[in-house]
Amino acid sequence: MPPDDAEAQDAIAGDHPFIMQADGRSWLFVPQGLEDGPLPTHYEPHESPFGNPLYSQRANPRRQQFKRPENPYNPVADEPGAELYPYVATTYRLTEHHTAGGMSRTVPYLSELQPAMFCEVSPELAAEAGLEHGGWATIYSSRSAIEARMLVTDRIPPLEIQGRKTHQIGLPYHWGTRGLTTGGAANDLSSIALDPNVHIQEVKAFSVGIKPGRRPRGEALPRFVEEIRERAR
Amino acid sequence: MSALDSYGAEAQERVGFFTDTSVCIGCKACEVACKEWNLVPEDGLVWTGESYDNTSELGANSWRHVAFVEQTEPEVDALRWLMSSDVCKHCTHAACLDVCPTGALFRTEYSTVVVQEDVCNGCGYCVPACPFGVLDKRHLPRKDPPALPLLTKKEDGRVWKCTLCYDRLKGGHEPACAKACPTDSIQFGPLDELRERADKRLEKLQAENWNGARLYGRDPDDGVGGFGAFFLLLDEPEVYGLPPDPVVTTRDLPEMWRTAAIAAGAVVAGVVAAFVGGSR
Amino acid sequence: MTETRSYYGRPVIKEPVWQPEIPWYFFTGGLAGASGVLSLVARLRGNEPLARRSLYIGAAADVVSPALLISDLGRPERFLNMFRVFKVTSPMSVGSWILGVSSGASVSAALLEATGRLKPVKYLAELVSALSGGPLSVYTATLVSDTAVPVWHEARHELPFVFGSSALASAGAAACTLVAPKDAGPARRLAIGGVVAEGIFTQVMERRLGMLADPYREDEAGKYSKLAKTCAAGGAALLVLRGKRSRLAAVAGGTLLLAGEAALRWSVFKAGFQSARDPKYTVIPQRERAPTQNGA
Repeated sequence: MPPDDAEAQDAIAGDHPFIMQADGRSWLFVPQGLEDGPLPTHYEPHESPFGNPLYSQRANPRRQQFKRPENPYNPVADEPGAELYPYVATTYRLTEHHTAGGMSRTVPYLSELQPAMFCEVSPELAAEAGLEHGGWATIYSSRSAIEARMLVTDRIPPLEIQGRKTHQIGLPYHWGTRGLTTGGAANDLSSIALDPNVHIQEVKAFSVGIKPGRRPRGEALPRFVEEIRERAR
Repeated sequence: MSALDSYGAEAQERVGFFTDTSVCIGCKACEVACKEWNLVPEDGLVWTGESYDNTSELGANSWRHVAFVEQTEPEVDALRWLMSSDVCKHCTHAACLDVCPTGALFRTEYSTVVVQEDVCNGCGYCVPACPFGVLDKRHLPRKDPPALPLLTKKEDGRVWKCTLCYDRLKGGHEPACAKACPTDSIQFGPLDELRERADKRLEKLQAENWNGARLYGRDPDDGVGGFGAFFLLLDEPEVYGLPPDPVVTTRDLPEMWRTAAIAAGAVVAGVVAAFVGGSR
Repeated sequence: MTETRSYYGRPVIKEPVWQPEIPWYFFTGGLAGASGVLSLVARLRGNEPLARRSLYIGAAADVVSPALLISDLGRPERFLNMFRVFKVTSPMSVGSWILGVSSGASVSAALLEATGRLKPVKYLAELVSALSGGPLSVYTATLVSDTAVPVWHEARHELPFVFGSSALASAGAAACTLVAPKDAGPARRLAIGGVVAEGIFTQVMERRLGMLADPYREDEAGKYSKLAKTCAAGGAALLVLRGKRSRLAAVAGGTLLLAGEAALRWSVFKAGFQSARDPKYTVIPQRERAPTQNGA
């Protein structure tokens, strides 16, 4: 604990969690410095199967969007075709790897602990989509499609949202094309839509579809992605 | 005379591990630290689909193994994710050490059980003798060319297991896995002290109604005389792939030698009996 | 059957790492040991042809045996480490010394017999070979019983007798194939008696094992067990019916019986692997003596 007469950074206790703030504390009202605010509110993710139950503004109006051919966005909420990307994907880290794996998939002792790209779904979603534990699945968005081994687990339960049962898909994002272990890159699926303050793309919640089996190879891959996109239009 | 007495003045206090699985977070730092320190080779990039566990079992190339058990408890409908870092138990009465025909396995001055790799000839007897399936033969290509090509198999061929970081102990350091453990799930120390600590921890968990908390291998009266590396588990041992009531089979050896002696006598008697009807 | 919980169905103990050399060694070791005894008793009873042939059979098996064992080692060039120590807690250590002594004695005796030299030394070697023959033919049972492999350890009371009778049957059968029927009476009786004893001990063992006898009946072990029984019964029947009169029947019967005895060793060997592989064979018997803490 800092003494009572401590000043500036010396007055910040070691256990204050908001290290980005001058006083180490969380602010509910942020008078300056934010692109959005000053009060916290709820927006749906940029790609979400749902509308915003609070008000008509669905997603953050200040988010940075890039409407370019290589960055198509999935239809969302009530838009036609949203049902083709019905599941909510979230990407996350595993303890064994570091970010996109460039520094850990080259290390034997780490690679052997998580040696393959996998994808976590609930037993309910597995039954609904015909996915088999240990088998392959193709996960797709309007940008790309990747393949992963199926880990069917109760840890990723479906959520009841606005009266609709909504399935989640868990995707570690540590794989790529090189290293001791290679596999689908989850970030290939996500869109480039950035948070207005820190300019981080939205990879913790976006919409995808899933089907059993390995992904198409070569030129068949963009065709496969585009066919679904066309159907959604 | 116990093995420890033979060390005379060099004998040390018995040390071991208390692995408290109730605070294990499944980070596998113990596995990596062990491999780094002991130069244990990577042994296969095999994805199992068994929760987050791709190590699967202890063996020649895995001296720490973190088990991941996913449980749904029907009565509360909550999910429980048990994690537990398994290791060689360094038994008080160790079957591997007893059956080793070369003396490669020995009891150190710290009362731990270690394989001398320059003595092991790869007979493999300790592998099925261990009631926990800890030891295994290393099947990996050997670097140096064999001296006797006809007799030599192209692999390491020896048996490897946890040494409780014998070299680190000698230097006054704790084993690599315990050093790396961020939650103190793996605790290293004098065994008596660890047992006391474990008793207190169990008492606390039981008072907090942690259903299923129990100590495994703490009891010096069990089938292997107590573990040098014991555990606090949150479910039955077999759920973690551990035997519920391990025994050192050499416990029955005197009786087995008697049986063998009688059988050997019976073999001679059988031959003699075959001549009863005449010598032709 | 009780519901067994396990870690993803994985085994609790490790399967043995022993290679095919080992069941063959169980067979040759048994053959060598019992042949050494047979040879000396035949010598004492004045049946020279049987004594000489059994001595050669035993010596041949005693040459093959260490070769098989050395070949099985992960580090064959370190075979001599087997003789660094003598450990009574290790049946393999004790067995290595028994085999070393027996092998040395029977091979020396056979060489001296063939060359007709140093008679007193030969007699001494024969005596040593015969004395170590009994232990040699049964210690392998003790060796496998002193492991955590459920079907081996729990069979520790019967397995030495199964191996011992199998060794007798092997020695008798081998002699039947190489000795003229008129001199092979004791060998025939030994082979037939060995098969009968082995059948009885196997039955007793399987009954005492209860659910642990299942691996002896299933999969590969079951197949070898059936093969063993068929060959042994066929071989014994041939020896009983025609072995005294027909040299051909004696050779055929003896060979068939030897095949049966080899198959028996393979059956025991494989059953051990099968029981190690399935966690229920480890967990259920332990649960029976240590009920669950949860009272399940």
